[in-house]
Amino acid sequence: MRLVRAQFKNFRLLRDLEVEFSVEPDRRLTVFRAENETGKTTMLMALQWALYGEPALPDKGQGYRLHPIDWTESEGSRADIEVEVDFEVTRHNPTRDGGTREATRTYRIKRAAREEVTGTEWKRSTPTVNLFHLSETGAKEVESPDIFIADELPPELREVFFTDGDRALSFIESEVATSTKRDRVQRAIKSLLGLGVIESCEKRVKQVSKDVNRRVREEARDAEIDQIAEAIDEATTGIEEWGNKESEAKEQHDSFELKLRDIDKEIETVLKRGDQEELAAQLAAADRQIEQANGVIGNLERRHSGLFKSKNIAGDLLGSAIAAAEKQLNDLAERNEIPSGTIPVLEDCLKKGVCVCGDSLRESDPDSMRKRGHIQHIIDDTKQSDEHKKVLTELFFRSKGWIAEITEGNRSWVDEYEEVFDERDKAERQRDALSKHRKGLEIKLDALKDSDIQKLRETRRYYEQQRNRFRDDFIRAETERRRLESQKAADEARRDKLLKHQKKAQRIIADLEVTKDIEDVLRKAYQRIQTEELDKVSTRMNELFIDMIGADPEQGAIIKRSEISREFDILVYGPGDRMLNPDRDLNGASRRALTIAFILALTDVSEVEAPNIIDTPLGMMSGFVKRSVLRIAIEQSRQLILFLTRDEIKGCETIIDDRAGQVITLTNPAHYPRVLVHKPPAMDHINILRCACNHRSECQICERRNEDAQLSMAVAAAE
Amino acid sequence: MVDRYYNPFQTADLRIPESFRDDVSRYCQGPTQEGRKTGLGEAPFPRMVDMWFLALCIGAREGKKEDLSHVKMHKFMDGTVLSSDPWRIDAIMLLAISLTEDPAIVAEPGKIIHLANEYAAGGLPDVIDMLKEGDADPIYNLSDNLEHVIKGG
Repeated sequence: MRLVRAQFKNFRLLRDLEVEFSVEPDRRLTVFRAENETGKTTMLMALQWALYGEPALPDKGQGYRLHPIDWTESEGSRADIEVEVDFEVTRHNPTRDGGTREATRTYRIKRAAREEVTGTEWKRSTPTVNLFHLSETGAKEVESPDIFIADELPPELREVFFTDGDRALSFIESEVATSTKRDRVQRAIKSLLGLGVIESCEKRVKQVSKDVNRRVREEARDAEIDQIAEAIDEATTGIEEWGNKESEAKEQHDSFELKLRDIDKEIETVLKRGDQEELAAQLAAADRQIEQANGVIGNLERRHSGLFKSKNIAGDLLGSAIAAAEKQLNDLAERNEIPSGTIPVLEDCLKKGVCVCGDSLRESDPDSMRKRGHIQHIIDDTKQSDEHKKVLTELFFRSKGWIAEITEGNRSWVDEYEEVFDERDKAERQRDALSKHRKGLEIKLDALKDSDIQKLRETRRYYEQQRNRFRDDFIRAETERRRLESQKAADEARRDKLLKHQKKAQRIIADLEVTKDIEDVLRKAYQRIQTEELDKVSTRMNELFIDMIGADPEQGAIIKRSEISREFDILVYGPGDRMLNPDRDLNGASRRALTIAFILALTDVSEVEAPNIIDTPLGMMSGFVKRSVLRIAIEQSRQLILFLTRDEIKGCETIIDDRAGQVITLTNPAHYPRVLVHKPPAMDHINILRCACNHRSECQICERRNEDAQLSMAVAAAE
Repeated sequence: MVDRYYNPFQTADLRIPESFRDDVSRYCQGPTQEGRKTGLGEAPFPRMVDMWFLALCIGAREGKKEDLSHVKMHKFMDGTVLSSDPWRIDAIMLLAISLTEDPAIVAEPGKIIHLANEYAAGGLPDVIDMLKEGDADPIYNLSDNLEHVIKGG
């Protein structure tokens, strides 16, 4: 199958768009040059919807709107959605000479639906689908279009052929559980290699075998044979039932095993972050330490502030002035002007009643009384004139102490300041470190709050119980199935032996032998395909992958080979056959190359003729690897349709020049003016536009601003 | 005999020019307009008298005396506040003796305080500049600038 043309009407962003795909054998590449939000994913989905219907939509279409989001009442309450895809199918008809002749037919599939829109509510009618064979004579409707499509491009392969660079990574990404990745790979391989068909055949043959056994009972008319046949019947039913239970239990067991692993990782992560109680205690301790540190800093700050009122600052600033005053006081003292000693001496004389000259100053003697009066007069006069000397005397004695303190001491104000400064600096550093530590604890605690360890452990216990339960169920079912199989084999042997003695049972015996043979053939075919064909896919994938990344010296040195294991795991090996984790040890370009190599290998080995339609396959790639991937993808595809951004195209222009039969540019006019240079034509609604520009040209519709200009526009818009 | 801590300036008024009142309030501890205490980092002086005295020291050191006869003054406290740091009483008197070269001035506390107010007014602009000059908190700006002054910068 190759896509020829598609037309979209009212399918989300694609209100009215028609595109063509290249079907030229030598130019099998079609490129849609389209940036983000220009309908790439929408077109990928619309094509799948046209071919496969609702199952191709997210959640199988449940609650998934198809009409444009900007649909307005003025457009009516009914939105008619339609996607039309023309494709061609080539048959290889046999010729008389034993060769083949290619016969290419063109078909048109048209899927339509109507959505009743009321405000934000909408309801979709059951879509209709029609398939037409287009010929020169006109269009002839083909019955059962879904079956036709399923034959040409099996629905199981949809995700292989219609994919995007990111989704393809799901075959190897580490976020996905191993069994899920394995299941995806297995499903893809089984579909492509037709293993599903063989499985169906096996089931059918088993049913036939059962029917034949029933006929044995009807036709043999022998009590013992009847009894054995009945036992075989029961065993067959039992084997099927126990087989189903076994598969179911295995699936559930594996699922809980994975859940256990996941939750163990989560618990481990949480435990690494620390225990909540312990963290809370550490946080409280940190708070106390910070409080203490703040207390120390507060004291130091007060000490610092106290420096501005210290004697030292006065001493350092007023040293010379104080020294001058001190000198004056010392001079006064030297001249005996201070301290003043006259009054105390005279007062002492009066008290003792004897003058300094030896005369009596007794109060009983009139002469002495006259002398006492004179001395008292001298005392009063001196007192009045010496008032300032009294103050100076006090000052002289009092200031001696602190002046000596500030002048003779070794410590100046600067020393004090430096000491306080150092202590403050140290204390503040400690406080900052504590605050940082506390912040770290707080972050850890915040992270812990989201994940209750206790709850996780309870969930783990539940998973463990369930896993063990299903493990026991599995063992029981497996044992029972094996027992029944063994019993059935013995019964069959006994039945066949008895039947041989009955003439009329010869035909039944022949039928039984045929069914057994077919069962045997199918089982062997399944095993062969699973081993041999899987090996082919594995080998092809490895060839393509190594070819793709060979140009990258860094990855080329790390990656030596890749393979798909019997368990359907995609594995990558480094030097010395050391296993690498594709998601961790490979760079983005190699991961994409690996998944693209896997898809191309599958399509190659299966020989299914179908287009590979890939959205953003070259993201995160550059240089020679990007070119290699593109070149190999073109060579390996029957038809390659790529949705590429301008960045992805960069460096691949010459390959596109040579190999693309069709290049279409898609533009979202809503990107004006931030990204687009030219104002788009006036439109009532957002409608993706196409223009004739190829990967090298630009026009009034698609010309974009360079990144700097886009950034400036974004900044201006934000302001 | 005078008391050892006799304060001759009890009745004198400690004053600053009205024009510096806001700056002085800003750098001294006390409730802000919002009723909160500012931190010591922002307002390094516990009391106004501490800033006044430092300004007096700076003014005296730099010989900056402000004629206050025509300056509108603000009395922020009386001299009793000096009793809490009695050595300052002595320092002020010694300073007066040194500046006037007249020991007898000690008998005139009013004159001494007037002289002190004049030198404090002269030194205040420098102190305010020292608080502002620098990228750090005023307490560090002042400390660093004082260190510079003391070291003779």
